[in-house]
Parts: sequence; C-alpha cells; structure tokens
Amino acid sequence: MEVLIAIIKLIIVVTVLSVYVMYATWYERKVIGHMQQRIGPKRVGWHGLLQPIADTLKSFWKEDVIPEKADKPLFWLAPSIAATFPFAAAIAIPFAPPLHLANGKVFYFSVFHSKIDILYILGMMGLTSFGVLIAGIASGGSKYAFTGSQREAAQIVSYEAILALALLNPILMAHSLSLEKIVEAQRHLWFVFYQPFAFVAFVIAMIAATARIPFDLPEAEPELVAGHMTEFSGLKMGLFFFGQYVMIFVVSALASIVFLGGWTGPVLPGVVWYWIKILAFIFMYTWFWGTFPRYRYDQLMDIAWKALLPLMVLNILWTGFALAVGLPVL
Amino acid sequence: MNEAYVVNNEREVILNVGPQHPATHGVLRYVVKLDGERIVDSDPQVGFLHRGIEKLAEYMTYHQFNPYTDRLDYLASMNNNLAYVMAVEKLLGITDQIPERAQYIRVIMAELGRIASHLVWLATHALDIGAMTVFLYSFREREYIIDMFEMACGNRLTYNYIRIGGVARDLPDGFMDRLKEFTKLFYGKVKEYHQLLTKNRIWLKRTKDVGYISKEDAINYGIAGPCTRGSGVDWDLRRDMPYLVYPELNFEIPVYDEGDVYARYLVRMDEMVQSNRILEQCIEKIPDGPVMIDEPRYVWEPKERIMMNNYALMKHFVKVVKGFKAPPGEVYFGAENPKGELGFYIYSTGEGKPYRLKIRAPSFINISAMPKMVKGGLIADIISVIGSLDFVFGECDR
Repeated sequence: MEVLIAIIKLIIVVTVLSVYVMYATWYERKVIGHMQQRIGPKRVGWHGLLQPIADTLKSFWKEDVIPEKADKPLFWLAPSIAATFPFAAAIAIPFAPPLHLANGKVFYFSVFHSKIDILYILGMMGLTSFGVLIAGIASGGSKYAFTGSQREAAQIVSYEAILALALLNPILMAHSLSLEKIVEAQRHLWFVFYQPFAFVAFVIAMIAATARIPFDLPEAEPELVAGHMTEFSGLKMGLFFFGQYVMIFVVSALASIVFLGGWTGPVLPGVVWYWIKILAFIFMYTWFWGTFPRYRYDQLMDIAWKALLPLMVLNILWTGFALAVGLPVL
Repeated sequence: MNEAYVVNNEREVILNVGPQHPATHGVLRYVVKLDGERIVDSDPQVGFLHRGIEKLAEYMTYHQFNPYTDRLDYLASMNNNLAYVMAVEKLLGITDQIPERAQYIRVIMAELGRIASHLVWLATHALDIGAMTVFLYSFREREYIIDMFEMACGNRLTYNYIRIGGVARDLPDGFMDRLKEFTKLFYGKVKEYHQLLTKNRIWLKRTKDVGYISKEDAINYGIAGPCTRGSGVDWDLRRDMPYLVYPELNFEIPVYDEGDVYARYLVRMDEMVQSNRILEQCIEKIPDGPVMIDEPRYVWEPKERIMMNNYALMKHFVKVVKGFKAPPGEVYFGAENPKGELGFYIYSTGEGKPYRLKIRAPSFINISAMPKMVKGGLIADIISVIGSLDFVFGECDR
C-alpha cells in the first residue's frame, strides 16, 4: 500500500512538474516581456498559453545531432543526469502543507519524506552539476563546451559551501533537518527576520546554483555560444533546460520553506501562501534577468570566497552563540 | 606566422571565436590563444564581408556610388553618405556653395544617425554583457529615429538621402514636430539607460579596468572617434577640422582619461546627449531656402524639366551614362562618424568616374587595437572589448 501510494505520488509529481516547467517558461516570458515593454508570447492560444506546448513539441521534432568525436555513452548520460536529479530533489519538496487525517495519520504532499529532507535535497542538487560537467567532457573536445564545464566546476566550489552554510542557520534554529519541522518552527516569525544575512547569501547562492543571470556563466551566450550545451541539440538540449527549470522550482520552494515560513501566513490558506512565495521567487529570477548584466566567473568566486563565506561563518558563530546563551537571534 | 597560432606548451589552447558567433557583431573571426581562460595572444581576422566596394567605385559615376556608401556602416548610413558627398564636393570645389538649409538638414541627419548608431552600440554592448532590457529600451528609441528617416527619404536602413550638392528632397511636413518631440523625450531616455547601467556594480566590474589602451597607443594605432576620446585624446573632427555648420553650433566633446571600456562607454553616452543638444539648436536655427545647389553641371535636373525640355533630357542622359566630369586631382575628406573618422580619398583623372577611391574605415582601424586591449584578460573581457570598440563589418571589410 505504501509503495503504491508512493508510485502514484511519483507519477503525479513528475507530471505536475513537467507541466509546471512548461508554464514557468511562459510565465517568465510574459513577465520579462512586460518589463521590456513587449507583450511576450501572444499568438499560440489565448495570450500564448499554448506556446509552451508548441515549444516542447518542436524540441521533440528537432534533429538530434551527435558529434562524431563525442563520447556516446557520456553524451547520452549528461542530459539524463541534468534532468533526472532535479526531479530527484523535487520529490522531497512538499507541494502543499501536510494533511492531518482523522485517523491520526499525516498525509504528506511529497513523495519522499524523512527527517533529513534538506541533506537529501542538497545531495541531489550537488549531483545535478555532474550533468553539466559530463556534458563538457562528452562533447568530444569542443572547446566552448569544455570551457563551460570548467566554469561550472568553478561555480560549484563557489556556491555549494555558501548554500549549505546559509541553510545551517535556520537548521540550528529549528533543531531539525526536516522541512515540516522547520516550517513548524516559524509559526510566529519567519526566519528571514532572524537571519537576513543568511537569506541574502542563500538567494545569491541559489541563483548561482541554477546558473541564471547574473551568474549564468556556464552557458554565457555571447562568450561561450551555449557553454556546455553547445554540441547538444533537440530533446537533449531541451533536457538541460528542463532540469534547470525544475531546479529553479526546487530552490525557490526550499527558500520559501526555510526562510519565509513555507505555508505559514495570515488569512489565506497555507497552500496559497506557499505558492505565492514560490512564484515570487520565480518572479525575482525574471526580475534579475531583466535588470542585471552578467558577472565574470572570477568575480563570482571573489564574491563567494572573499565576502559571503566569511560572513556566513561569522553568522553561524553568532547564531550558535546566541542560541547557547538564549539571546534572541538577530 | 603570427604568434597567436603557435602553441608553446601543453597548457595553451587555441580557440577560434567566430566568424559565426553570438558576440562578434557580424563576421569577425577572432583567434585567441588561451591559458585556461586567460588570453595569452590573439589575432583578429577580417574580410568575410568583403565586397570590393572600393574597386566597384572605379567603375561608377560619382552619383552612382552614393548608394554603395550606405552599405559601409549600415547603422549610420546618413553619416556615410555625408562623408562621401563632402569628399566629392571638395573635389568639385562646391563645398562653399551648398545652401544653408541643406547644410542644416545634413547636420540634423548626421546627428540623428549618430544617436541611432550609438543606440545600437549601447544595445548590443549591454546585451553582450548580459543586460537584456537595455537592448530593447534603446531599440525603442532607435525605432523613433528610423521612422523619422523613413519620413524624410522613404527608407529605413539605406537612405541615400544626402546627395552631391545638397540633399535629395526637402524635409516633409511634420518632420520638425517629430524631431522636437524626440529631442525633448530623449534626455529622459538617456537617464533611463544610465539608471540601468552606469552605477550598476556588475556593469562597473565588467567594464572598469578592462580593455585598457593608453593615450600614446591610441594615437599610434590611429584609432579615432569615441574610442580614442575614452583614452584622453581630445580630438573631434566636427570641432578641430570643421565642416558644414558645426562651427555655428554649440556642443562639447566628452573626453575621459581612463582608457578602459567604461570610459568609452561614458564617452558615447555623453555624445548622445551632445548630439541631442546639436539637434535642438538646429531646430532653432534652420533657415528656409533651397536644399540643392543650382549647379546644372553636377546635380540632377528637376524631373519636370527633364520631361518637358529636350536639352535638359540630353544633359540628364549624359550625366546618367557617363557621369559629370570632375576636375583632375586628389582629395581627402574625413568626417566624424559615430565609429570614428570615416575618410574618403578620391583620385580623379578628370573622367566621369574616380580613378581610385580609398575608404579609411574606422572600424577596421579600431579592430587592429584589439589584441593589445584583450591581452592578459579573460574570455569574458573579449566580449566587453568587442562591444566597446563598436565596429560594423560592412565598413571594416568594405
């Protein structure tokens, strides 16, 4: 029975997320269009609502070119990793607040639920980067792809530590790695008010983790054509984007759960609050896209290692000290 | 063999950027020797858009060649027309006889062209560094200018509006009102771009101390225009070798000493404002009168006379087929184009066609300084430098 429910949940989550990814692109294009005094997709369907479907179908029908020199197994493996592990991370993300059933049991709206949700998600996020790294190696000596992967490697070592350290503060405060427990701990006041620095650091790290402007270095178009995806075409390239958008969902949900109190909030029902927060983060992504130029990869490393890392270490020391002494953390 | 093509040790990699590449603004092939992402050496290769325009000129009458100048720097066709036409007029010795209204119209068109060209530069420069919104904002204003050009001459890209002896036709009704509206509106728009970029930390990090070139090097390479004014060279042909009615107009030449991408950025941003000031003064000062000189030897007869008058028709026929006889001699005229000094050197043997026509293309000369600017930088710096040099390959490869 447990297994059956899990499989049904899995199918639902994958379907919902796939549809979500399609419409996330629509949402982004609409938002950035209006920011730039355009109207975004408009032709296919009502207000372009069928545009994502057209785009997906197009990527299915595109010719799939595999370069002669490419390492074929790895060439298949790279997009698969880049697309599956974000899903693997997403199955631990709840889609709605847990439901307390009449018989005393709790129904969770996530496929996978454990005491160490955050560790699991961080692990899966770390594995996602291997898709990008392998893509560069598999592309058969394409220098653009290889440089893109090099940059991704530089990017991983920059953001991963920050991401984990920033998450450590709320974990310390909630005394738990479980997402539900962390939300529970924010019933009265969201952690963002206790930990503004950690929140800012987390937002910077999560943008770097999803490789979006201003940190879209591995695929910086004017520099590296398409970076690690240069040699990929058709559905394989689509899979990279797919993984990226799922990843954006994962980190947005994580940020809203850990820092913005997840489904806690006045008046409106919890699930509405939760999705408002996630969509706000996705809006933020688009907003940054419309506003900022791109950093250079050595500058990202400077920011991460010279500014954010010392700040986060101090932040954790202070949080630990304050918790030990019993001071209000701020 | 160029140093850029020789790998000295196993750390070095040769990367071929272009000719088909998102950031090369056309067809620049840029060979870089890399150590990791650090640029050891580089070599720009041009010529992918070579059409032999200089050679074509030798088989064309002076009037016939005018539309070809549109295809040089296709982002500032008006300015190209102007430089060529002024060179021919200098050869013919009719520079002083151009009616004043025509001169003002030429200044208006040249300055509008400068703003339009700088807007495209800003758009692509910002887009290359990742700021996508600036791209669409500045194209919005460019559209306004292009619409005005369309009003004046019917075309949106290749104008052929400034002709030998004046301009093709007088400004249409409503043009001046639109121009007034534009000059009023444009200051606010420039502020908008400044808001998005000038104080932006990321923009500063990407452009400051990147692509440095010293004052001496800038002069030695022969770079002209905004690129050299970003290195502290106070030189602008509109002021220092004046032509048209520029001496009567009041404008400043922005000069910055830093010599990096950011300085060149600021120079062009200020130039747009100064061009707008020139436009405002032109609106005030433009007189009424003819827009073409009355010199039947060199300019077309009015269409009505060709249709009605037998002799005029014959003269027209000769001018179309053989061209007018220009006095023998050689002449050089350089105009301040958005990209730099666009010069036309014409050698005439007294025939209807130039014996030799040489174009001093600012884009070509600016590219030659690129290896110096990017050396020691990262791949990302090439992109900043390409944007800041603002070259157009129609002009560079000719």
